[in-house]
Amino acid sequence: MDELFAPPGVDWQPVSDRLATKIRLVGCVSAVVGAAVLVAVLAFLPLPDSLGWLPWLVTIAGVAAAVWCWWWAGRWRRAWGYAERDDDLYIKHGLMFRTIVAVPYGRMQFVDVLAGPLDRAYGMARVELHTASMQTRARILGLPADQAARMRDRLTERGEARAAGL
Amino acid sequence: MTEPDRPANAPDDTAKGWAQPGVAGEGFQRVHPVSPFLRVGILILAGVVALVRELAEGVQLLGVVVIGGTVVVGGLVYGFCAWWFTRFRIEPEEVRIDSGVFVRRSRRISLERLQAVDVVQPFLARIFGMAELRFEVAGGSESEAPLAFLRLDDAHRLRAVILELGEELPHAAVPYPRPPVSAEPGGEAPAPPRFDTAEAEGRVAPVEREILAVRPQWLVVGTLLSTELIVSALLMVVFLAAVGVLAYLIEDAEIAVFLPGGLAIGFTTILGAGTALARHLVNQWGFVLSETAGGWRLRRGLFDLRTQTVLLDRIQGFVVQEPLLWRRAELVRVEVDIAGYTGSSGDNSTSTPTLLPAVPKAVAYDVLARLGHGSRLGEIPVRGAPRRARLFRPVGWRYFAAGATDRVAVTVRGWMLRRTDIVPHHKTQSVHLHQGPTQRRLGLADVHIHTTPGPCNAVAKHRSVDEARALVTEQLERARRARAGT
Repeated sequence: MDELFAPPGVDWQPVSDRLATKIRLVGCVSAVVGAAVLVAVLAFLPLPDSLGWLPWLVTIAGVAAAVWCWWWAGRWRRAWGYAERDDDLYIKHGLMFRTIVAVPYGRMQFVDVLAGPLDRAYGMARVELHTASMQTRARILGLPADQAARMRDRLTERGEARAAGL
Repeated sequence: MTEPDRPANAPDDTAKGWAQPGVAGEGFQRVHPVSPFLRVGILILAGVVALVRELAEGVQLLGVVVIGGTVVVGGLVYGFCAWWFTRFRIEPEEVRIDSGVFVRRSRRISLERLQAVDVVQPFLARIFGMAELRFEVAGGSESEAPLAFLRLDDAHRLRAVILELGEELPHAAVPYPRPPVSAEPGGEAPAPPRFDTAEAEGRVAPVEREILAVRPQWLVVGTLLSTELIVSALLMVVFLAAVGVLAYLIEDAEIAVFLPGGLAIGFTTILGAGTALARHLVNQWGFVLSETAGGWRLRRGLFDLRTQTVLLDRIQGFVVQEPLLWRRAELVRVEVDIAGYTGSSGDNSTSTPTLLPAVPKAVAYDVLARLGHGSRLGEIPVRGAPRRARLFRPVGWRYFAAGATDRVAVTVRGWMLRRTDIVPHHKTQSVHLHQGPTQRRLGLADVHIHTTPGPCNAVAKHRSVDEARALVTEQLERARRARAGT
């Protein structure tokens, strides 16, 4: 099945490993905090003794979610990839639902570089390509910030060189 | 009002060809002075209706007349002010419209981004031979400031001039590889964009050749066979039967109280569906598609006459729809994507990109064949989806198909509403490939070909894996070649 997502002539460029770290941080913190809040709520509820195992179950579920997120984030990060070809940009992502997006440079309307607070803390940014179609969802997560800026310039340059009217 | 930012090359007599009652200096002109009356006309009609009703109820006449008169006079005064402050000017690269009584607004409609110009005649305006000009711009959410009202022939001439100017600009759309229009007037030399109303007018002589007139019986059959009508009629019958059976079974006098109410609900349902369909019929009545130098002209409407000119280069995609009940009658509906027009064809939406409302399949294919898609729609080689796709669509999998010529990509899908989406290669925006977990197990994948927002949405669903990947690569290659103009 892998030939479906084989690189298009050029090798897939991976995204930064710090993306996985960020996802792990966010995922684990929200799992632990969520579990803690639930346990706290349960502690205040007048639970019958027969349900005394419930807080433990919540704790275990929270830890399990954190562990799963830790494991999944690495794989998810590795599923991201992009390839800059002569005329178009390929992006692949997703584990369960896999997607390849191919955008011709000549079709780009504009390029966004976005970075949230956490992204900035990790020195990452996300690059989004927009075409005249609303359905085009072409974005690359977790590029190192300088690489993202260079990529934006490169894309813009190529877009101008190959620009075609609507 | 001084214009320091006027382009130097805009001659002062820009509007010379448009001598109208309301010339406003500096090349600006006004819409026809009868406009405020037409705009308020609807208000007056409503007022008269209300007056008659009030009189019938025996309310004192004087009060009603005073209130109604105040409203009408106020409306007229405001309408006149609005008319006085609305001026427009055609410049080499844009149409400029200044409007607003209290808040001044100056809009510039870039001719480069202009997708279509519609001439609309609301019923009242039609009686007086007036028309409204609407501009559709790429990226705009709605029609830009309509020019209301102009004399009908003025509106047509103005539109022709504007479209002609737009076509001459350097960054106009990638031209559509279409057979030359034989009736095209001469003088097509690629002259630099310059503005000469008289010359432009001369070149866009109103040559118009009819391609197709939609026959009333097609529209009527299409309406009668529409799913909405049949479903609401069935609901109505079921409802009435249920009420009747209930009344029969429960021989109780009290139940009879609910019968009129029940009947009323039933009738309201069918009345609602009927009104919607009647409105659709009225809007699409007398649909004529004709060919002009600027593009294709769509004319339709029983009361409100609407004329749309679609520039063929601006069509981003087509969708041929065949609802279940229409298939027996061999009728199809064709809608188009035009950048700037959004949404699908609501019945009373101002800008319906409906190319053909209800026509026999063969006729629709003939019309589409004029666009130079490589081959007739029915003859484009398409391949079905593999049999294992039936796990996703037990019935519909048979109708999944995809194919391409050297000009267009075609995808077919849908069982209740079968749709054939056609995307010209040079209008392909991006290509996506999706695969869910179940599809992965079955070795299937979806390929989406994206176009600008609109009814056309080409998806080749559930292709086998190697075919899907090949489809993506080939589609990109075809799109690249088409953009390069080879």
